[in-house]
Amino acid sequence: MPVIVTINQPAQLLKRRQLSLSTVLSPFAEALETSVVDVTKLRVTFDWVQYAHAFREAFSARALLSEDGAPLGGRGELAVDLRQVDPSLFLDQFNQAVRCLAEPAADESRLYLEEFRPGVDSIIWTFNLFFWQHLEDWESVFIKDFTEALPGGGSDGTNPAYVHDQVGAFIGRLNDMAAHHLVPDEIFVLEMGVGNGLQSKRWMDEFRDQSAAGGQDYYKRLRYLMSDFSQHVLDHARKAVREHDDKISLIPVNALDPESALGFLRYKVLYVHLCNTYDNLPCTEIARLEERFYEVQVRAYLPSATSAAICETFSLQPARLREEIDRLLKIGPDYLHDMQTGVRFWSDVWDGLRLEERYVPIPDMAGYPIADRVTGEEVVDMLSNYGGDIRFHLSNGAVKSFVHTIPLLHPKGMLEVQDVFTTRLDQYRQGFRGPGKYDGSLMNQINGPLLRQVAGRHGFNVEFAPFKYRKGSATTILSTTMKE
Amino acid sequence: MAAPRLYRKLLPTTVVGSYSIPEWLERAKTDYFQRHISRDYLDQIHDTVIKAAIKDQELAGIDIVSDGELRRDNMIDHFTSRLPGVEIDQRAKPYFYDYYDSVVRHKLPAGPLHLEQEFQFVRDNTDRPIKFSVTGPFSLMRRIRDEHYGDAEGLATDLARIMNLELKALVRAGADYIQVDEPYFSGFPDDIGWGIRAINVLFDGVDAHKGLHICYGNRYGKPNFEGNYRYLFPAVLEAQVDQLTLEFARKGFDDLDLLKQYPFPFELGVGVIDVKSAEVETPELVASRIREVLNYLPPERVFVNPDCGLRHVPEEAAFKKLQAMAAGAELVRAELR
Repeated sequence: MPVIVTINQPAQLLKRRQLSLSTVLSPFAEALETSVVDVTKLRVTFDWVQYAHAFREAFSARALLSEDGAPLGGRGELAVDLRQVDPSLFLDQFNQAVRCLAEPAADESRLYLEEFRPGVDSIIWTFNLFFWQHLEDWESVFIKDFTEALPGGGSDGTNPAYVHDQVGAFIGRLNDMAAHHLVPDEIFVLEMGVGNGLQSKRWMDEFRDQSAAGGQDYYKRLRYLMSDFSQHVLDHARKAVREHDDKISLIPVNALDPESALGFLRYKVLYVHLCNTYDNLPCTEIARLEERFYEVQVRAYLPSATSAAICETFSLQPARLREEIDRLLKIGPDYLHDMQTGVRFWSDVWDGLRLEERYVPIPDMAGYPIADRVTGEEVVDMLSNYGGDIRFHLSNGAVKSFVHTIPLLHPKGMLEVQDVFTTRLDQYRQGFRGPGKYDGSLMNQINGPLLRQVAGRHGFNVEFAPFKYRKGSATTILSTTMKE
Repeated sequence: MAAPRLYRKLLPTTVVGSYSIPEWLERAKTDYFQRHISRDYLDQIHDTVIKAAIKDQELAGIDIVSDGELRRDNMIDHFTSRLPGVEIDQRAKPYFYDYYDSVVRHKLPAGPLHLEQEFQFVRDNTDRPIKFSVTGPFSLMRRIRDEHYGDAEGLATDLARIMNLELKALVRAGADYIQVDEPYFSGFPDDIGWGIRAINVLFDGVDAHKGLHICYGNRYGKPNFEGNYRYLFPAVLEAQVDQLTLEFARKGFDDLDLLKQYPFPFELGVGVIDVKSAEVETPELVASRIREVLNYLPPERVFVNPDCGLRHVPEEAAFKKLQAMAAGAELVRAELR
């Protein structure tokens, strides 16, 4: 078997002079030639991990397991982060990683926070949830507004030109319905994930003004629902929409299952909007390698140097560090001396977290559970006309949220999602798509082709359009309407 | 004036639309439309599942059964693909349930659709009374691109004329209870006047028990439209039908008041099973829904059915829903004896 080498998206990086391939490929070639271990069973993947903070080290060894869970004698994948790799250390690190594959065993120097498991069940998502639960504490220590740190200095959801067009299109749809006397007495609009409330304010301002300009009474009939997982975020957002107070309802909602809290709105909501929510929901990755499906299992750990530094900073016994982390996640950041210290401990642990990975065969992809009402049948269909090896996100949380949101839509309703999507499968072969860290939260690009597949099965159309209102924006707009 | 009683049993139970379609059947159908299996192979599959659907209805205690419409890819294309003069340029589909892009480029000629063969198959496999349903001209018209008539009513009326010949052929084959389904009425309430005229063209001279089913759609188990039945009145009173079949279970019974506001001449097929939920109703709940209707109409004018087709309800739940419906109707019958 030959060595299979994959280099993800070097062209753009070369163009921007961020990467000189020869500086790493030369040591790589030398490593292959001089390796004392059999490298013919290797897959080697070179990524450029674009996130400033992520879960990768320069070299990662990913073992390939048999169906009974045993390592396949040195078979596996070496993943190299081109952004972190030091060419002068390449040979040593390469050989060390190859040895890891040949003799897979836990690295005793690492502090493991869990056993191997599907990505969706990893402790990293507990940290993510913890961030949203304790956002107020986090912000009080780091003195910033989460949205201010976004690329472009704010959320694309609040872009005035976008909101103007968005409301205009919505009113156009209402006018079409009005032509057949089909506009309901109450016009329900749902914003999921309200941020600082600015998007909601701009949307309602526009809606009020454009309705008045068109001579319609739509604003009078508006029922605007602001929902978020975090009560703190809702309370904060409310301040921004005071002038629309009689139109709004604030409802805590788990984005993974809006249907359970908002079931009373089944078939009633004419417009649902989400911005930067799906990328922050739990996710497992799947790989299809040589016609076989594998679940990418992960195991979170702290590298030994990180553990040592954290213990020193916070005067903790190394043997008790894992316990301290568990207590943090159970009790909250104010358990350690004082809240500020707790948040800094949390931040340091989060910053240091890394993921080991391994590939576990999936004997029956069609029966693999993705989310409620969705199985791997959709993956099989999604890939039916797409051959070759590919590793991609299942976007379990996004899929779950999606299938629990569309039942709320009025037959003429629309779900619009602004987020970072892959919109074509080949993009998974052209770059790293996550996970990365953003502040105290997680982000993954969302598998757009899978959402399209799932939507189709549930009777909905999905379209993607680039966000044209900010130059350089990575945001894509997903629009979902019911199939006719 | 109600139509003559077709069935002696009080509160006869029957079905509407499609029976539950399991995912494996969806896949088999899609395989056909993607040219992976032959028409003959698919026909054999259909024959088998229709026999099973009839048996399920009988076991559940349904009085008037159907073929579960399992032969149909969807409620539109099954007819447009058979209607002479309706052109479909691309007959392969990525998913069987998708609609064809159907177009009319010339005046529609008359010609047979051969639906009587489907009726005969059901007749050969059950001794129970049969309801045979077709999609109405208004709903068909809404899914056909018109490049000839330039007039929605004109196209719908011609479709009704052609379908009228088909209904007469069905009667000749033995069909005595024919229902026309018009879910698209609810999306175009302003057109109800001429929509009903098209229904009357469709049923003109058809010697059968004639039903008209109007719901809010059930595409992918979701409504296509929202609203209430107020728009139907008084135009619907002009329909030359024996029975109006409406959905109530999902939306509630507020619209029953309309039956007091207008002289309602029809039997009512009352929807007592919510087909947009997999939660199985209890017989008691079904009975309470039937009793609700009996405040407005005598039992001799009430048929009992689901809101619409059970197509998107999982198979096991669909069967249990039919069982609950039959048991609920029996509870009320016992009270009336």
